[in-house]
Amino acid sequence: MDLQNENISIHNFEQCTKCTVCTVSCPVTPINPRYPGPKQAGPDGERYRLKNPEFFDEAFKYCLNCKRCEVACPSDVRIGDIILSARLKHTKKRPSLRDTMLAETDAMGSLATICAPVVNLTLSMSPVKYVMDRTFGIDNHRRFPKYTSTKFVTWFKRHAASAQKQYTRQVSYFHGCYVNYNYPALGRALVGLYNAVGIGVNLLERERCCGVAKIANRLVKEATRDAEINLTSIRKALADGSEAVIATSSTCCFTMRDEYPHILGLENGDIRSSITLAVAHLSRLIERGDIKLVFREDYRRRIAYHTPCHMERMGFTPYSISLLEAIPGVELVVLDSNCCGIAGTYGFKKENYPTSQAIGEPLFRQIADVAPDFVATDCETCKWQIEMSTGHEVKNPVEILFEALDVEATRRANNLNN
Amino acid sequence: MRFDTIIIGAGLAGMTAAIRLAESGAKVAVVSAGRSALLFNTGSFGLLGFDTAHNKVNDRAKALTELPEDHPYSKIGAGGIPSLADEARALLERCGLAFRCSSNWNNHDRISPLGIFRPAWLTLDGLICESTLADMPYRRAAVVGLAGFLDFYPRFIAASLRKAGYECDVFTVDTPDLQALRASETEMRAVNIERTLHGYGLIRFAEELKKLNIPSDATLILPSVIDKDELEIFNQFLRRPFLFAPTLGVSLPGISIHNAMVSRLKELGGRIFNGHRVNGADYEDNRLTGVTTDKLDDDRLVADNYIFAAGSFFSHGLMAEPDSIVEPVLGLDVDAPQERSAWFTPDLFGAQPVMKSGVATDGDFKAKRDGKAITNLYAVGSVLSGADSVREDSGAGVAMLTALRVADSIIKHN
Ligand SMILES: Cc1cc2nc3c(=O)[nH]c(=O)nc-3n(C[C@H](O)[C@H](O)[C@H](O)COP(=O)(O)OP(=O)(O)OC[C@H]3O[C@@H](n4cnc5c(N)ncnc54)[C@H](O)[C@@H]3O)c2cc1C
Ligand code: SF4
Ligand code: SF4
Repeated sequence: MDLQNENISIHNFEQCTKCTVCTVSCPVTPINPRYPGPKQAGPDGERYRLKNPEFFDEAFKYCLNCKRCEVACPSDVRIGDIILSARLKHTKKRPSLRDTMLAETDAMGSLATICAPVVNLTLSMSPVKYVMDRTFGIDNHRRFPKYTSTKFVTWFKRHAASAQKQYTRQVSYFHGCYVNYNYPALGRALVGLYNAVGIGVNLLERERCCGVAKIANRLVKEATRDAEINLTSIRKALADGSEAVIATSSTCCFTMRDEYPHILGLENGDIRSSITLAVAHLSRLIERGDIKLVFREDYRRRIAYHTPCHMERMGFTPYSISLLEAIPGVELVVLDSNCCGIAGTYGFKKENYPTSQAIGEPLFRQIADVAPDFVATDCETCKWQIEMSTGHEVKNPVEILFEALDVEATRRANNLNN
Repeated sequence: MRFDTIIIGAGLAGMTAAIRLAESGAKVAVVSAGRSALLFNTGSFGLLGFDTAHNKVNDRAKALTELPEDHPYSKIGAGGIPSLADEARALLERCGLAFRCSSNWNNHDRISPLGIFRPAWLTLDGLICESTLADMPYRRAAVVGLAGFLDFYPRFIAASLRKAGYECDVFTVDTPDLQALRASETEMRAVNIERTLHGYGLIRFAEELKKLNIPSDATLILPSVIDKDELEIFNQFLRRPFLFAPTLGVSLPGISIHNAMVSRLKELGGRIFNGHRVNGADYEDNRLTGVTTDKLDDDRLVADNYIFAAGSFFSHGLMAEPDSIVEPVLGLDVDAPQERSAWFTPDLFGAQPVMKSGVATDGDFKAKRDGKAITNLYAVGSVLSGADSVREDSGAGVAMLTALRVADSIIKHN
């Protein structure tokens, strides 16, 4: 028995009972028959690969790493982790220039923001898209997220940083690449929201991309380097008095909590529970009676909530839903939890574009049926995909909370003067 | 986070209790660590198919009174069963599900995935059973298998139908969509097939069926691989009567029951913590004061009442250690044979004592811990001790009826 207990295999793969529940929850299998499916690619295949790596199949690249198989598995097998680890270990080809480009979110973002108007225009011109399609294999139907000309960090330093010191309570904000380069409005909303309840927001001493795109594109060394920088900064921030390190992107948060230890092998047990999503952190503070949110009476919206895959995997969906439901004028429709199909950089690749759109189809149809004022979701790539595929505007719950907030009344309710 | 009642487990038992309580206006949360045994449900529910001597039950009222006193049905009381069974059926109908049953409140015959007639309490409408067979225009059927689909046994089903006095032929159908799916043969599963038989895929399927020269008076018997929302289109193209037979493994009828119950609960404002495994509990004076999950960091889920519906071995509600059977999460008492050697009998097809093991409860299904009943914690469904649901064919009945009994008593006490 001790032998059994002490020989727990990596990612729990020996717990598999072969029930096939994972197979039926994979968004890829029914659409791309070349993909062998979670059970086959995961625990089944792993048994063979342990003996002989020849059993590795290049078709594993079709896995979205959505982890929906893991949420469905009754036996806690980390199927997605098994497949991703196998890809990282056994894929022979080097990542292509295209994959490297898509993965370098920091470098690409820095370059692009400097010349945002030109980049936005260039990326939207069809000859450019044609060349990207032909030369790099980035699908020409893809609309690129717009780059902003003022990065979030620049705005923060100029307009917000100095005001944060007045608050005794502090959190550190992991803004992620998307907020910094494409969606600074979300970062500003976050700062506004926390300040309204009397909590200061600071940035990490050094923040690098969480690494999700590098991991997906097999740039493990680069991802590990970024992850180590982030972990060091997070530990320092917590030691310096931050209550938590909060993110607004479910994928960044998930990557730092779970992919760091499971995929990159970086221990984070000491700080894992302090890395969280703003919605989870706010819910906790409200529940404890530490803070209060007061909403505007004239705010009336019909909102459809989409559960991102990594949000589902983290189990944090109830936080976003209960916060949005707490806004009196909001009529919330929770959409069926389905993958939108983009899965980070996956849907940008030419070979994946049709699969990506087909996977998202049930979600897009449901959004059209619900006809909301806008869609709410916690993931930035879901936002691109849904905006591109449905024409509906998509907002992060934090942005919605701030939009609906009666800032003055909230400040009073939290005993803040002026 | 605070709720009126927290239900641990989103199987048939947990969902039934949650829906009933939410219908009464309570704020409920269901916590579930993964998909449940419902996904394998064949579309037929058993209440009591076989009696203690393992004979097919013909007189259900009598068979119920003969059950041992530690059986969950005996705790409800044989007299209370019929009204709870009606209540269960009405609840499923409010979820938008339509069932067939026998008119005299007794079992009817349905066909299992292996083609055997088995007794059942309720069978989803559209599936082959005594009552839908009686609706066939002629006593003639054609069972159609799908090329390369191994979870369906047309020949077995045909053999049973012939024995029951029906004329029956067997056919095989193939379409380009199925061919493409077969590229990954292990993925030829009912659910993946269903997703290819949509829209044009379904029309192509209907066209291929028409080419098979099936006698015009035969009712088609197909594996359940077609989404119920697509049936209208299918009907338009096929234009002849058909019935579905269940498949092995994760099944479409099972998924449709699960989805219907989840939608109903959401509609009623119930909250579902999907993918959360309850991993700890706090007690104070024989009361449960809160539970933790593997996903909520420092947060606790707190309620006035708790219902434990974590299923049996398959769902890890119970676990077998080398020398004991345990309930691994809440530290509850378990009724089970002491010695491992007493778990089994040498006769493979005989009753295995281990199958009756489960959480110990008092007469009101309050779960016991260190010999004492926890006043606000109930256990329901297949995690309970006393029933051998596979042998008795009582799984769905025990799940729903114990859940309703507990939900009703929680409602009454408020
Ligand atoms: C493969 C299979 C096929 C069956 N087919 C039929 C059939 O066709 N007809 C029939 O009448 N009966 C069938 N049964 C019998 C079946 O057991 C019952 O019908 C019924 O579905 C049991 O429901 P339940 O809710 O008690 O348990 P389950 O359906 O097992 O549900 C238990 C739930 O609890 C969750 N859970 C467990 N531990 C935790 C935890 N720590 N934290 C959070 N959640 C947890 C699980 O993830 C799961 O969702 C079948 C059983 C099995 C195993
Ligand atoms: S769901 Fe889990 S236990 Fe079932 S086959 Fe997949 S990995 Fe194995
Ligand atoms: S992670 Fe997603 S895409 Fe990959 S096998 Fe699992 S369910 Fe399928």
